[in-house]
Amino acid sequence: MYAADKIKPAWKLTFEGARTTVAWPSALTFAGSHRRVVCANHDGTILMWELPESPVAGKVLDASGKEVDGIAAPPPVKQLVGHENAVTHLACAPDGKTLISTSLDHTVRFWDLEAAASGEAEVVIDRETRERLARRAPEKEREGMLSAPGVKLATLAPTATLSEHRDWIQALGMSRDGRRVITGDDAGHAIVWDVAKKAKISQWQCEGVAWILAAALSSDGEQALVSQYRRKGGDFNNYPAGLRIYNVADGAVKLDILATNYPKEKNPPYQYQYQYYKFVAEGLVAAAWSRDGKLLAIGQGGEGGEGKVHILAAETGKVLRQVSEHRYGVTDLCFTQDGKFLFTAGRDTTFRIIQVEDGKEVAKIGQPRGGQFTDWLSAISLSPDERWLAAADISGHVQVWQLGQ
Amino acid sequence: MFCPTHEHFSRRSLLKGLFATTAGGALMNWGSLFASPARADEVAKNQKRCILLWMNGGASQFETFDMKVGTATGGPFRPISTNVPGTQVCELLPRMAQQMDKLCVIRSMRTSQIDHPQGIHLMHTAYSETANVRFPEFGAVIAKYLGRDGAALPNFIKIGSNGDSGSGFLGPRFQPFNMGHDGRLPTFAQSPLNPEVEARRNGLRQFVEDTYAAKHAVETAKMHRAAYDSARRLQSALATFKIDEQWQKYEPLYGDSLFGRNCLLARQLVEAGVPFVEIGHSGYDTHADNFTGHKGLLAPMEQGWAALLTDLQERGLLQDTLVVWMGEIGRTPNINNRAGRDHYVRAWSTALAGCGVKGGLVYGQTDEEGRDVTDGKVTEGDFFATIYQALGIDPLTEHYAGSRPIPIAPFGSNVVQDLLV
Amino acid sequence: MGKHATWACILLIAAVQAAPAAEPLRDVIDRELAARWQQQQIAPAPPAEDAVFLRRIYLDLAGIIPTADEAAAFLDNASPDKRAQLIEQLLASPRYAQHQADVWDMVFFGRNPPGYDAAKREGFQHWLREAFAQNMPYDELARRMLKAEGNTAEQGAPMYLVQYIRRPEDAAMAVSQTFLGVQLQCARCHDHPYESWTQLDFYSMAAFFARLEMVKAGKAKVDNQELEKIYVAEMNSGDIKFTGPAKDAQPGKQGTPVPPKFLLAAVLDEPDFGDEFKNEKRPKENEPPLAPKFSRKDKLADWVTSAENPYFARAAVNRIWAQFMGRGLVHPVDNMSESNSASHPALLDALASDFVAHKFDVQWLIREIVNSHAYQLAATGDVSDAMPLSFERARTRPLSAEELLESWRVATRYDRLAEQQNKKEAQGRFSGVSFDYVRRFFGEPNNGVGDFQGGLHEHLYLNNGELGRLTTPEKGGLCDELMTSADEWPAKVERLYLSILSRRPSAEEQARFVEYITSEKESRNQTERLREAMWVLMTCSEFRFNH
Repeated sequence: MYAADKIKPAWKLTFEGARTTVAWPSALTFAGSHRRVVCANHDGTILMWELPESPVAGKVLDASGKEVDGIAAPPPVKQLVGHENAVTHLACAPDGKTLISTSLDHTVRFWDLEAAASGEAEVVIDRETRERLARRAPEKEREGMLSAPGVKLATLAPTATLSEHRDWIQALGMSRDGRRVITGDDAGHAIVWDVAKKAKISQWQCEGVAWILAAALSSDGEQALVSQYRRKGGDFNNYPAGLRIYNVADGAVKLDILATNYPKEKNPPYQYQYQYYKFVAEGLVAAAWSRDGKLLAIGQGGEGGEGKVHILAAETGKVLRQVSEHRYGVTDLCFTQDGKFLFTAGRDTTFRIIQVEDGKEVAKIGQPRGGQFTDWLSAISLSPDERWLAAADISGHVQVWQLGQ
Repeated sequence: MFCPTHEHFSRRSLLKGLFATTAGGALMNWGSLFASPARADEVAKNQKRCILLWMNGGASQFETFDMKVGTATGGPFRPISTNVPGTQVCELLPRMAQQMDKLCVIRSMRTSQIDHPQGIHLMHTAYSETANVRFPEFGAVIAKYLGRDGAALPNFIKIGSNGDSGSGFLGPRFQPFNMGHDGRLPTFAQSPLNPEVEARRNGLRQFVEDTYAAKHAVETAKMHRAAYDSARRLQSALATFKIDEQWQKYEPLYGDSLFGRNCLLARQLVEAGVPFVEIGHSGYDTHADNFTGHKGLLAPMEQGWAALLTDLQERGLLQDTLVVWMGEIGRTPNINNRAGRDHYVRAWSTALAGCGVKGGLVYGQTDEEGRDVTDGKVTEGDFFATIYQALGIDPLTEHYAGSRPIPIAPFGSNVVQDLLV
Repeated sequence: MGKHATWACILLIAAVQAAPAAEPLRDVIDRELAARWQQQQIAPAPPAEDAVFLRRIYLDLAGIIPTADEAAAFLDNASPDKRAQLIEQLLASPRYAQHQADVWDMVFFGRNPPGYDAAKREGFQHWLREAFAQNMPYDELARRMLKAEGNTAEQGAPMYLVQYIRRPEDAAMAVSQTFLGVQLQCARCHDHPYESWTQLDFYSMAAFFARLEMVKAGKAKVDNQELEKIYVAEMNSGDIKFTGPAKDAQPGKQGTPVPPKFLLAAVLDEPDFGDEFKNEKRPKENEPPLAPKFSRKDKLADWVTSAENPYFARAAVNRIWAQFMGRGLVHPVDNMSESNSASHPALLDALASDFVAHKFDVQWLIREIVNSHAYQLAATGDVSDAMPLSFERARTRPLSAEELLESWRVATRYDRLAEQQNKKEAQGRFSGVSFDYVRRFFGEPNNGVGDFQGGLHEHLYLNNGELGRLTTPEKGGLCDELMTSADEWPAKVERLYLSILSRRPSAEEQARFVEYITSEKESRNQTERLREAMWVLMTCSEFRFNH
């Protein structure tokens, strides 16, 4: 049982990109335990941290650059080198070392986190802080502040780079045993991979030309939930969207969830379009399948209003309830292993814990931050023991939270 | 944001001159009072035309023609090669990349209105809004100089587009014919009467109008009669607005989108002699999710655009048809915390193709991060002067708003000769 | 600064010198205009014929055309002062208040008012109608709108400011333009290069509106409609911040608070509350707001509407003049400035000072204008300008959407038909056809500076639209009246003309129409012909314009 007052911040790991770019943290995962976090950003940089067993008090810099008491954030220890564009998802197998990444560079990459280093690199992880402090510093010190050495760390090369996709890959899902993953691209092409063999098991072309924005595998990896959407599909009546369950073996549609809930009509009346839009919003961007196979969770992305999560019955595709209203869109979500709780994160700089049975919001963690428009938590990961949560914060941090008992 | 200084010049001296004339007040631009018929005929003979592809909300230069890959302002897209060696465009424009030899890109726009309503006014009229003068859209100016009197089709057609300046002080005769963004004819376009009944009813109406006109020379009533005549003439040309029968053949080229359909419609209309057609494409105001926004928007747009250029060329129409691509503003180099880009007019891009302009040309330059123009600055005035010149209309042509002379391109505008053939 | 002083001085001197004249204003109008004609050797048009005057004055004062009976009665009236009598009769009719309310509603809101709430403003419209019915003095009317006491349903007037809540810059522009005839928008971004006002002047005016909020508190029934009660609340704190010229603006720069200052006049003397309202809360929802300790808005309302205000009365008379005479003495009417001077300065001064002397009596002013010979000139002649610069002919103006539809209903007697048949349509002013279409096609008859802009689109409506619903042969309508009348066709055609064009046909017209209809012999076919003839008269230029 989680409780809001038991949830405490543990670490705030620095991962700043260049100012004014979208080089912000975009994907992350715990690897094996809460002690190892891997986070990637929009530039294609992937970093790995090894964390102490529990937070250690030390000195940190405040906003003005002064040293104050706080929890010292450890630096990253490895850089995973290869991606050339934004990394969209990271997933780690239960072995704690097999990592899969997807990217806008059209590739899926496999990594062995415990493999020998391929070399050494120096990475500046506090670029934004440096620039901010340099602006206030005396002119003669500025150059030195900006060009000071970064963090030295070991580099890793991917164990495989799979280039079967021909467009942005925005979707990645893994079976519970970590043996299979599904990836989906903006051309509507879905591929299920055998993780051990790093080879395709099956692939299929989804209906229409809509982007695959989210995908999830059932525990056994035999079925796949795929969400499609496309902004401005040509102005015709319905937003080109799809939400379907496919048989992995042959790519056949097992259940068309949108069609079940919103049967197609020739000239859909306004009310129909309204309901349809209410469901799809600006694309369903995050998907999860409960371990027992009974429930699906699917989150509304974009910025159209309240980002909700639909909880659906996997067997029928019927909506059981709508939960977790994030101001603006949802970005990521996951079930606990027993399927009793759902974690969601959004564009309002918060994450929520939802009791699945009744939809009650157990906790809302984080304060909306930013101006009129808030910063995002772009991804979350629940540790294998489900007592820690990591969240990628676009302001250039990885937040690690201790969830208590 | 700024009103050019000539917007403010005193009318006093002009009014003085006016008082000296006899009754009648200011000259109107309506009817043939001001237009020089000789000029208009000469231009119309060459049958030059213009199609405006209007990117409402302001398309991003970074995601189209002025990429800054690898810099802080670059974003996630990558450049691709075009059919012009050495020239690259965004990967979101694969079909337009193969039309680059027809295209004249301006990377160095610097305009003066940063918000939508003001920008829409500016980039349709070449002028900032003022209290006293209702400036005509350039579609109305082109309708006036390139249109044909007595044509069955309207001379100025807007399909799902934006801006409501219309014909301004040019008067009702050059008002746009507005169609919905679905490309359908407006409500009540079709006469429900059988032609025989309509003809006899018209006969009686002409008698009544003649009776009134015998005693009243007032310009507004003349315009009312002329507009009635054009509404009647339109009936004989309604078939030109239908594309359903051709669509099956053209869909693979133009793409399965409303924008594609409207491009085919525009081609059909200019082929039938309409001098100005504007097509709007909305959704570019991507303050949030600029990248997925442009990825979604540009695909149907660039297919329709590329198809239009191909089709015009195959029909031998491109050399007389100027295709203008622009929105009211560009987008910021900085990317905000919504993965969006905001409004920007210091340095942005537009593109021309066809009539009178060079193909395969990229004009002007911006700095490394696209923050400012470093070479070949083109203001809104220069841009419109160049468009008019390309179409064979003298940019110094003046109209009168009251007694005040107003050139079709603002005083001090320069034609960008490098763009013209 | 020099420029400020001169401009203000001229205005003040003018206001002082033009003391209430013994000479009736209508004579001043005719004298001033005639002097200009003589000076410029302009021959004025002859006086308008009775039928022309009749239709003109009905539309201008009542917003509708007369019925055939009313038209015939006036034309057959031999009384030498029948025009003045008709003017009095119309000024006293409920239609006067309705029509003025329609006209001024457009001045205050336009077709598409900013903000969501002002789209539904029956409370305001009801109040405006009452105000004109009681001939509320114009300064009082403006003061109520600017002070915004009460709510938008029961009092109505606050709706004016509701459209500008939390948009103080827009409020400053609109109030200056509407009540003072002054356009400040250029000064929003930079000092005005040719007028006296600076950018700071603009923000100083905006400062008066910086503290306005709105509160919704329940509903009230007005004219059988449930309306939301919206109150304009004023906070004790809140400022406009000025950052300098927009072209030099830096992102993130906050700017300095601008104290409120009347346009080209004194800085507002306001109490200093220190930190008392430092963290002031927004007014509570669902209850009428408390008055502030000190109201900037009320001070502005008093200054704007003061008899000493150099702009207020002039802006008002200029606007009302243009309503009846076509062109403003300063044109466009809401752009009074040094660089846009009056065509007849002495006349404008006389109108303004007499208006003040008559305590802003709108009905008096209208009465004087429409009783002048100038107003009653013909619109005929071989000159093409619809708004003659020297007022030597009557202006020709297009009918508004409201005038058109209501006049069509009178012309076709659809109003009578609906009432007799107890139709639901009888209830509404605009029923019979869809007013949405009429508003769409005719809602903006000119381009904002007075030029007619109806084009091809309006004829698509006229030719192919819904007018057939009004020419219906159902019982009670004009078509039925004529088809069942025992009169001969020449008399019926006379009735047709009186009904639609408010005049008798010429012999030629009569013959042509009789022939058009009676070329069919069967009654059914004659009905069709008659309906076509009705359509012709309803859509012709003579109907489309007030001339």
